[in-house]
Amino acid sequence: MRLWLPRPSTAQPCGVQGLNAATALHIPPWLNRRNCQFLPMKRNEARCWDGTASWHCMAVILGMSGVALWPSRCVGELVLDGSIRTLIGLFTSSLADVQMQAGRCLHELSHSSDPDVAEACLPVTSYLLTYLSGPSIEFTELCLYTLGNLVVESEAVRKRLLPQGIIPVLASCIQSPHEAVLEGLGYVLSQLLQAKEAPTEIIPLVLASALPQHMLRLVCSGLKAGIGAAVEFAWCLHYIICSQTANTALLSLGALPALTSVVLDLASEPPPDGAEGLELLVCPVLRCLSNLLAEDTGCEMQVQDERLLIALFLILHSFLQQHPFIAQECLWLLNNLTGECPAEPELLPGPASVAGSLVLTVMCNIAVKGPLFCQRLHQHLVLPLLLPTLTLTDPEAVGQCLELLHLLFLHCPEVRAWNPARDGDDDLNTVIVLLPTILSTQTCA
Amino acid sequence: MLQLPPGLRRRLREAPLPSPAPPLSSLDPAPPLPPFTFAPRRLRLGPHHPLFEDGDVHRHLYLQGVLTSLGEVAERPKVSEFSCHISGCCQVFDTLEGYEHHYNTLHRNVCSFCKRSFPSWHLLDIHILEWHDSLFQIMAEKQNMYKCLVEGCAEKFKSSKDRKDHLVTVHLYPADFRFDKPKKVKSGPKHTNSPTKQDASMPMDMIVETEQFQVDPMEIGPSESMEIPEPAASPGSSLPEKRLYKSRIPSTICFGQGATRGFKGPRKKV
Repeated sequence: MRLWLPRPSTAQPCGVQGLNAATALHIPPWLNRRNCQFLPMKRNEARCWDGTASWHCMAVILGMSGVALWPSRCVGELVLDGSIRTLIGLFTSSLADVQMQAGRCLHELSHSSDPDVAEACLPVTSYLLTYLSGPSIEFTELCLYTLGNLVVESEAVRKRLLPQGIIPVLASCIQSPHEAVLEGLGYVLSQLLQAKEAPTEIIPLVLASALPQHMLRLVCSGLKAGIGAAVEFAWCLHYIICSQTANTALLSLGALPALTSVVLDLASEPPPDGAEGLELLVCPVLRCLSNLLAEDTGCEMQVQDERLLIALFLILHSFLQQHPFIAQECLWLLNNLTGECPAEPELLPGPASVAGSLVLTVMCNIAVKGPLFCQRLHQHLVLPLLLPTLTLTDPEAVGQCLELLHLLFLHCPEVRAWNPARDGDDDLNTVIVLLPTILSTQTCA
Repeated sequence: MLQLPPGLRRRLREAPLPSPAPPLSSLDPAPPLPPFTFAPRRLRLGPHHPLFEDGDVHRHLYLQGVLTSLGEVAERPKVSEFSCHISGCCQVFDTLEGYEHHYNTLHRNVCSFCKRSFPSWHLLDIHILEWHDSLFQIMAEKQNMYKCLVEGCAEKFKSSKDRKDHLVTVHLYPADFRFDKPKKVKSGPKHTNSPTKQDASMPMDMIVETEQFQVDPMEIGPSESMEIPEPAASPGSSLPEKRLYKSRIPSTICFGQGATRGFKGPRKKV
């Protein structure tokens, strides 16, 4: 599944001044084929650096507008007839209107999955980076999304951008106060961090810069300042943490308490217009926390704050119906919160643990603590919920259920006297609701 | 759906209580008895783990949703035509955003000595240092003073040519990078800070490459023997020479919408 997605900028089409139809102009052959309609333009229009009238520049650009929707063979023709090279020249024009339109055109081109197109765009990368430091917010945003799209498609582009200093430039831009720039920047970085060479060639550069602390800052302030940027940087952190090359550095920056505070904020104050869209931030934050906790760094890195458990249950409950994948990921984090430090960290093998199996795993984590917790599980009528699980065809779920029953029988003698004739219509989802009470340490004594 | 125990959300707002019991995961469990093998374990999941699939698809669809919604963006509102207020610039606009981009592109990072404009403050700064600081020229004779243009690269060079070679070979910049082209060496008086006399190399901005081409309007500055058209002015008009003593446009100039406003198209709410 291709997850890298070319993403457009939100830059608006600006007022096109058009062309003077009465003026003879040289139109490239491919432009004629497109049957472009030229609008009247003002006279005495400015000229580009090579003397070309801006109306001609606009003609070239207009002819290429909508290129994102062209058939790939037509886009390929642009590569062959040098049009992209012309476009890059217009992109560096001092005429702001021409520059912006050329930028939009390049951005459309960046959607192409044709590797020849990305390669033809290689000469523009140094300019894209140069303009990121410019004062025009809209143009900077446009450049960011163009870069992000090119990065997705082409290893050649990435290999060009790294020595051109993309990471230091992004590290400068991340201090911008503009939400649109930050969100675009996060997008570029998220695409870079998904590259196959990211663990060896990109993440070390990121860690050597000020990017990680700014990313954490922006994720933490997302609910107040701007959720769009927070979402992008949360995904960036997720990709970094998954690479397993940076977790010590992130932990030393306080990633665990920072991300914990994000979860607490997400759970305690739902936004007035509902939780729509919050799952985009919740998901990567949960993943970051869970994978950080799975680091073999010793028990001192555990999160002691029971409010995190409460927050997880609130989030799980909120998202269970509409976004069940959040429930799965909450349960995974719950497992890591209640599990031991592993002697050898291991990846979960085989197919995904469905929610039910994860619930059982968490309950096993609880039951293994001893009689007190087993009694509480029994008090909350967990047993009637387990019996239907034994009839499932999923061997993993059945195996986990048997493990739990074994623990309950081992630690809680009264379980042996339980009457299985007592039955209910509830399912394992009910257990999710009961877990907070079971886990509450306030009633532990 | 069953309700969660009451008061849970309220407990989030309270300060964390000192836990009377040890953390859940620090209790020492007994070893499992065969054939049962369960032991609590923390699980680390890789980026392509199947558990992540649904969330990744959701992220993917979110990005796609942005793509779709942006196709419905409305045109910017048009206003009565107005011209740029900078003296000598006759560009005309019918949208505020167009004017703002023009101003940021052409008038924001301008060297008041030679009127050349640059795409960033960083390049303008280097230009002023190398072109209009006489101390720089003296020091350049004794040590490497020409800074690499790439942010994060601390290299310095003896000449702009050496710098260019470095940009091409190390940073893979194009050989014709627009903001690092030397001017033709002209015989004549030595370089001074006068805007009418220029040094042999013009590292950051593009000067005329041949006599036939017009000067790059990015550098709205006079040269020795050519008429320089202004952007949007009709060809052949000459730029009145002005010497300003401030080196940069004040950053306080804005367009009445607040310094921190960014250009935001109507975005799909997520």
